[in-house]
Amino acid sequence: MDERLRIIIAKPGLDGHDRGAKVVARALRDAGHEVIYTGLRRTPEEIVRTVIDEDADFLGLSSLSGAHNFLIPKIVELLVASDCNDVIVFAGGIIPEKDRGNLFSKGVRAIFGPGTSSTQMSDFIGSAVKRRDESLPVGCGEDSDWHWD
Amino acid sequence: MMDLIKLKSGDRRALSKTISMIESGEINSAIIKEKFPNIKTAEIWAITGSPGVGKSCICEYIIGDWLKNNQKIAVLAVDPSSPLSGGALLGDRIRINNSDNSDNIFFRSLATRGQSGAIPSNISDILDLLSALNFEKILIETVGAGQAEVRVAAVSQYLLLVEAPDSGDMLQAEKAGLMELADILLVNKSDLERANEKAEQLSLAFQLSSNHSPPILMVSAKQNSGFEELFLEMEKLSKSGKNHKIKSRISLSFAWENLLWNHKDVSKVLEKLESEQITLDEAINHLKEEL
Repeated sequence: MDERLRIIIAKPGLDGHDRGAKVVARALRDAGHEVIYTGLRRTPEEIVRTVIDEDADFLGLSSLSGAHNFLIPKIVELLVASDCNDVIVFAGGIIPEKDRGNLFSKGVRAIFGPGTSSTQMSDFIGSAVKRRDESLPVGCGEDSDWHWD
Repeated sequence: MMDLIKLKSGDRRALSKTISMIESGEINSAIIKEKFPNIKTAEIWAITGSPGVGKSCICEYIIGDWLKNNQKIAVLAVDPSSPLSGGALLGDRIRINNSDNSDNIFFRSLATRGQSGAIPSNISDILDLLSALNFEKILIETVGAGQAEVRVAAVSQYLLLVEAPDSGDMLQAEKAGLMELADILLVNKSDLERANEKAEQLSLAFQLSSNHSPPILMVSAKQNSGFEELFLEMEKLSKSGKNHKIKSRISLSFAWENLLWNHKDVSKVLEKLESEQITLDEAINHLKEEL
């Protein structure tokens, strides 16, 4: 294990399916990180509060309900307003290709769909941490086009 | 470094960053005591019990009651770190839903981070910090891992022990340990058939020893029953202001263990022990000398 990170896995909005979120949480735990899972149906405000209290390095948002275009930018906006520019945000679930560019432009640094391996996720986390260590912009409120492909 | 001005102004992010620094050892108790002299300790409650008895659900009720009185509350929810990867899955927030809805409550999940026992070794520094920042009540939730868990008694003022029906036979109730230190014993899931039997077993176990018998209360987090009585007992305790007994003995052993794990040579000695370069006696002697 390189570095122990604190990672929040959250389920925003009215989406009752969390098998994927739980698998991701477990994989990150096994990679040596401290993972906080919020449970289902959290509001953007609740998620931001959790990020602050838990001093999270990363926030992973899982959405399968189709509300990602509204909820994810809203959460990023609240994070920035709460002085959490440096928190690194990624997303997963069912997010169509056509919606991804917009989310990337809002500060989301990676989007993982079905079939993603835990190695891919670890690689993303590793690259993002490397950028952070080199003081390159990577947080959700930091100005950059960088995102994981 | 910690941002005192922000901390004192009630900035949540500054608080949570400072807790991380305590967890990583960047800030130690000496620094906290220097920055915040004359800390008035908050009222600290611990809730413990075996996995699955319903601690988190009960926490939600207790927090709800405290929030009614407009008090500033902190919750520290402890879950174990994996001995294999060092990682942890911290899931207590799932069941404590009211934790994210009020500005009066600060909720932090803590991992044990590989130290022996079921609470992180620097938790007392975190408690000092929260006390210094005028949190009035602090609730520590931790997994009841058995005997080692008596250490929660060292850092808390009051201890709630949660049991559930069918969690072990009569002999379990007779075993010594945490139960002797509990200020209140709760039998959760009172809606289940064998809950009465469980409460009777516990009460019988205490009748045999005359020195300490805490109230034994039945609650059901599922049906929201029995909590008014719990809140009354808690208030009684809180007014009595007493500490649970033999606390100093546990505090001493806890502090002793902290000394060991924060010893500058501890990883070196462990390494030598693992590779059998030294014996256990030699290891102890070395650590003793350098203490």
